[in-house]
Amino acid sequence: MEAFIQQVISGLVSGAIYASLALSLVMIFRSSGHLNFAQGEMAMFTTFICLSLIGWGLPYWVAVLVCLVLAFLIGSVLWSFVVKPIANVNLLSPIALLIGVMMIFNSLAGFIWGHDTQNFPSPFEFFSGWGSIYIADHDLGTILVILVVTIIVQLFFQFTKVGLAMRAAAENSTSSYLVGIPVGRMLSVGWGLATVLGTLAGVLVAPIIYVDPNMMLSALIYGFAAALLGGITSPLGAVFGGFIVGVAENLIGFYLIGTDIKMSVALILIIVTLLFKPAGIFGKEAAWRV
Amino acid sequence: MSDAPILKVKNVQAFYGSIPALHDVSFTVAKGGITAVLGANGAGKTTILRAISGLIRVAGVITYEGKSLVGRRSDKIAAGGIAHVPDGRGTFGSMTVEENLLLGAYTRRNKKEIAADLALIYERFPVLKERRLQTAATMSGGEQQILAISRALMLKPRLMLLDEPSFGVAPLVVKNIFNILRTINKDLGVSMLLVEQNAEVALEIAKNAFLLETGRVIVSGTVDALLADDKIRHSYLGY
Amino acid sequence: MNIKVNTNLPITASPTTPITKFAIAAAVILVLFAVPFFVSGYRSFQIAQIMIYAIALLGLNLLTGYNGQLSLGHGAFFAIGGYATAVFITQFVIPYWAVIPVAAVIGFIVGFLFGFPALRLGALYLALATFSLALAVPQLLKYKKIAHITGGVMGIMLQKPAVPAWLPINQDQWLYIFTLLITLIMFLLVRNLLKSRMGRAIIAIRESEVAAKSSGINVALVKSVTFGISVMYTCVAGALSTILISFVNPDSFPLMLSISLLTGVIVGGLASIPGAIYGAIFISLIPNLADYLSKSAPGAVYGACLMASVYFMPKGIHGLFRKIYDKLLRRKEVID
Repeated sequence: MEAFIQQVISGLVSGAIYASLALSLVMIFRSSGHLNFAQGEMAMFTTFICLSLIGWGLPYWVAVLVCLVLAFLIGSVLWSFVVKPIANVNLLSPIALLIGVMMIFNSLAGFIWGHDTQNFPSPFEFFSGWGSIYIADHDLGTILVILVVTIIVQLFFQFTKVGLAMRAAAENSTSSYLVGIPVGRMLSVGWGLATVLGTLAGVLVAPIIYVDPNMMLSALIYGFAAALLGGITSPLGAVFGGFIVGVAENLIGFYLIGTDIKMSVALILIIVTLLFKPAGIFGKEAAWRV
Repeated sequence: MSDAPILKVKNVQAFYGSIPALHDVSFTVAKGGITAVLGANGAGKTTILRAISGLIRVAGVITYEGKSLVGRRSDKIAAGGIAHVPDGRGTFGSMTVEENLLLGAYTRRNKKEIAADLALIYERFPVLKERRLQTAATMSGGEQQILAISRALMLKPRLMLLDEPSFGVAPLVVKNIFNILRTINKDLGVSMLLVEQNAEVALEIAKNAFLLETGRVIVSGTVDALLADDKIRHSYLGY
Repeated sequence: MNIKVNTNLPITASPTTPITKFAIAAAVILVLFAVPFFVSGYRSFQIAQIMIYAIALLGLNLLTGYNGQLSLGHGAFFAIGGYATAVFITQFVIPYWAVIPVAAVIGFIVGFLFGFPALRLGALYLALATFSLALAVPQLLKYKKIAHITGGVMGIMLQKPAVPAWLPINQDQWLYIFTLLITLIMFLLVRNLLKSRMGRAIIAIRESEVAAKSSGINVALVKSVTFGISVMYTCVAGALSTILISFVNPDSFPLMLSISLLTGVIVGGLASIPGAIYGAIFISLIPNLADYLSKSAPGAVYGACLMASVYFMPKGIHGLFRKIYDKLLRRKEVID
């Protein structure tokens, strides 16, 4: 029984990481209709920057804040100058482009910071006492942060004017222009915010899995699985999906197939979701334009 | 009614890529007036509206309230007080009626006024109030048209561009919609450029009209004059 | 009389006559056959690898370039071909040359079965599904419970194929010739396929599925068959690769392989047969060249070339060559 609880909690923790990656993927999909394959690598890159800033003496929270701002800039610039020029040519071009971006970020990180794994500090030491023997302080802190951020994102999309405008810009850019929404700027902001969320994921997971250029590669696929399962258009769904993927992966890995092929769980979840309910649990069916 | 036209279009050529769709089109919309654009499918009527809204590349002169629109971005044009109800209505299908209406007011800042206008719309169009929280895509054609026009009103426009408001709408509802348009024009003083295939309904509320054929203006004038000329009425308006 | 002549040659029509094309092809093939007798064994090996990549790229190009179905996971199918070969040779003691058709059949079946559910997925989701395949397969190959077949983390070692007794050549040369023969067959097959009715249906579907369906094409069947053929080609490439190297292990098929294949297809030229060759040369050369710069360089170079292709060379190297060739030809007309 204890093992079961341990696995579930551990699953929730990794689930939180997947959830935050999923959130950033959902954000980009919701605001521009694209799947950003470079999301994980960008998050890894900004996490490394954070590490360097801390190494240069900046206090933890200042470094994180600076990185989040940087992440916003990187994301919006990436959209405005790299993706936007070819966004509507066909479906293959943005995907190929983003894979190229993914590889460049990966190589650049290896070039700048090397390929050894490094430690990353955790801000949650002051939680000691809250956590029990079942869950580490950092893990608890991570889950809480993710939940809070998710709620903020959901509220943002649902109840703010900018959130509404972003949803509109993603759904119908022509109509959005006609009501006065600066569509290009909305998409740019959307990508910026998504990159911020990805960086948050990176900073939170780094103390657990250590920092190296390949840290986000496999997390990305879990993020995709989570986003798909929960609903690629729903922030709440993405987070829900993240926790399900995390727990399922751990339980199935522990009890059924062994921990070494856990990633196939993600793969199977993705394929099953796409086959039977492409919109995910919370998502709305999108009408594909012919 | 002042004499200066609110919209002046002169020698306009519009392109889809490199293909010209409008040749040397000129017309005006009087301030507070309604001008109808008639013509068959493919004549270029929708293209005119898109040209004014900045959705396609244009050469020539388009001035609105004395300021040039050519080369300006569409969202800036909308912010200037031009509400364009596109063909197909352009509603945000996945969003609720209320969200659609609020989006119409995107360019406005005064929250109190927006709320007041929203209440007014709900009063005038109870069907929208009933379906406040319903997704727009689930509504009928006529209801969506009323929603589209209301969304345009939420922008507080001085000029409305309407693309075939009768399309896909039951005849009884069409009458209702055109009554609404006439009221908006009379009570709120909103000028209108009305594109329609259904000449009869359009000419009931319009003061001026012109006819497009393959991107060219072939006939124009006041509605009274056009209707009085039997030849024009028979050959171009079909009745 | 003023007659307007269209000198704007479409990039799809070839300006060379069929006889010229045949002559060039024959010359190239002859040279290719002669190569292993003039260069070192290692060089032959390298060129054979390029040919293997070309076959894999043909497969991917058929699916993504000609039929418009995006796959980010062809490295996984390459792995299936490689592992199937190793398993069949070691477990069922089949001679290496007989395994190629076996790998082809397995590839077709796997591709067809994958193609069926893929029908329902839009381009974005298909990319996602195949991407996950590419990531999951290396892990699956290490699975302890099937290690008695797959050799687990250690992989499977094979014996190097023996040269047929009646040929007076050494092993490297034989492997090269063998690869060349298979490559030629695969190229011929795909060329004939694309010229046939099926080939036109494949392309029509890429242009517009709705229009294709209204013209009476069984879109679901054609798409699934295309997937089958595409995977078949990639499996054959994987099989050849295993035979050439005489070794498979899970780490030979990382995510990078799938990305390389996609890069090769895009940089070489989508929907073009020569593009497969250019792409194969590209993905064979870059790791070697870029390695000199730094360990991280190959990824960055791939990424940069991929991005450059999307912006500046949407038709790939093949398209670029065509453009240059067309321009030269037009200049020739004016002088004449």
